[in-house]
Amino acid sequence: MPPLITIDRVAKSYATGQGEVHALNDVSFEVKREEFVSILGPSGCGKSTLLRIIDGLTPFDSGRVEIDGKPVAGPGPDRAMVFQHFALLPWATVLQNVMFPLEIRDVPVAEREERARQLIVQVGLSGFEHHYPRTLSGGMQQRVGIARALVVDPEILLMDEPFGALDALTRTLLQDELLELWSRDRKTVVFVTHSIDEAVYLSDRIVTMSPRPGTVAEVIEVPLNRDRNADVRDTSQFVDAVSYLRQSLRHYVSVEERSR
Amino acid sequence: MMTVLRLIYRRVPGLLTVVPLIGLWEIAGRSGLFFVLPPFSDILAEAWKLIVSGRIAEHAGGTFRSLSIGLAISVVAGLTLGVAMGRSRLMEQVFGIYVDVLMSAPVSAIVPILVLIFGTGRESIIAAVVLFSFFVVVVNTYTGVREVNEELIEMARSFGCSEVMLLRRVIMPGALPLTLTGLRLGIGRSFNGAVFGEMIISVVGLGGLLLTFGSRFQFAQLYALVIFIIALAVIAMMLFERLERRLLSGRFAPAYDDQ
Repeated sequence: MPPLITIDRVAKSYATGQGEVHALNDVSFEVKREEFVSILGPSGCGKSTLLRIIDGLTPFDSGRVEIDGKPVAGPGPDRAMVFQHFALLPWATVLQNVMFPLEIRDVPVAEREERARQLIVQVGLSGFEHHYPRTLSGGMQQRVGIARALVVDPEILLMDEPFGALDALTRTLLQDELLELWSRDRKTVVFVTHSIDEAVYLSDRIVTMSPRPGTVAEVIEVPLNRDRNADVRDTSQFVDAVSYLRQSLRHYVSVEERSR
Repeated sequence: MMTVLRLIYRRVPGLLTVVPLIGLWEIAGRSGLFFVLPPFSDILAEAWKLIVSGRIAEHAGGTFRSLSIGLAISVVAGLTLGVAMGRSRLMEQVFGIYVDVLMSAPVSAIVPILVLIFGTGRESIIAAVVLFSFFVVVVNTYTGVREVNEELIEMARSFGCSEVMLLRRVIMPGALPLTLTGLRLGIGRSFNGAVFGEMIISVVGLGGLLLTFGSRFQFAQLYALVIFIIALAVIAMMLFERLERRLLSGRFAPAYDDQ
């Protein structure tokens, strides 16, 4: 089966006040259909930039990014993004926020509301339809963010450190909810994180990245079966995978810290 | 009328400090020591006379016409330019410098030039109103647009949002608080522009009446009129502030508490 997402020798640099910064260099990997792939790396390795390139939000300098064999030219209905800081419209209710992408896509009003309400139920927010984001906890706000991404029924879910702004307990709760949602309706997921535990717990494969310029260090297969729950964290395979990744990432982080 | 009363009621503690001040004024005026300062009671009596005789209404009509036309131009053009500058680098570069300069320049110095361009009629006074109120609307709208959360714009884009939809659903609601502040300041400045224009350009309306009283040493009438004009501007801004609070509360308040 051909890969759903192909990233081939992608490079990207920015002009900043201090000159040109190589954000990404020679980044290549593939994501198969229905696969859950995490991009793991320290801050500054360009992983969020890479995710925005896949979404079509950010242009890149050279290389090839293809979805289902077609080059990415901009955002498309086959992809939806979940943002680190939720990116909810503060003046709109939960329901209005979840309906927003459908409004953008000109879905008839009645259908908008019906689909949005379904998703709100699925992420466990029924009863909060008419609440404003500010009155919700971080975990609930990100549930809205997830519902908003899923409401357009994308083939690919792009998640940019979606649980990074949450406390540890809420974070594990949302990880389990995400796995639950994902097992019900297998989307292809590209998940950016700097948490090793999170990457191992959620993914089929992990792409680790090293910084300056951001490039793929390693791609590892997570040696766990797909049927996971919190107990998996105590298995030796999980512990081994986490400690292996910690060893290899430690190197990049220390190089990074020393260079400061 | 109820709303005005309620607004005044809310300011009772502030208004109470005015009472001793007025008392002092009355005493100083009655002492006859200061020839430029008539007793406050005389001023009230003159104010009453000006109102019932219809003299104020007669002059205020023209002032209000100039003011509302000028303000309407400022609001429509100011919002448009503010949004355009906030959204387009090019527009920002082209107009930014003029807006920055004229925002802080003493625009009253430019008013005489308006006469050269528009003559001594109402057009010049309208132009003065625009000159006074336009830039504050532009700058606040522009700043509001620029300060809309970048992540929200990115989110909308990632769902394929068009520029028009982005403006309508993300930029304008996001920029609303600052935009309304600009409009409120614009209202205040438009009074300034109208009265100043009438004094400098063609001695008509309330501004003209001010000049007349001043040049004839009719101090009681002069003070009465000054108080009347200030009261009008303050009431207009208070009413707008109320509208502003209503627009930003309820639906909007939860969003802006932490900004």
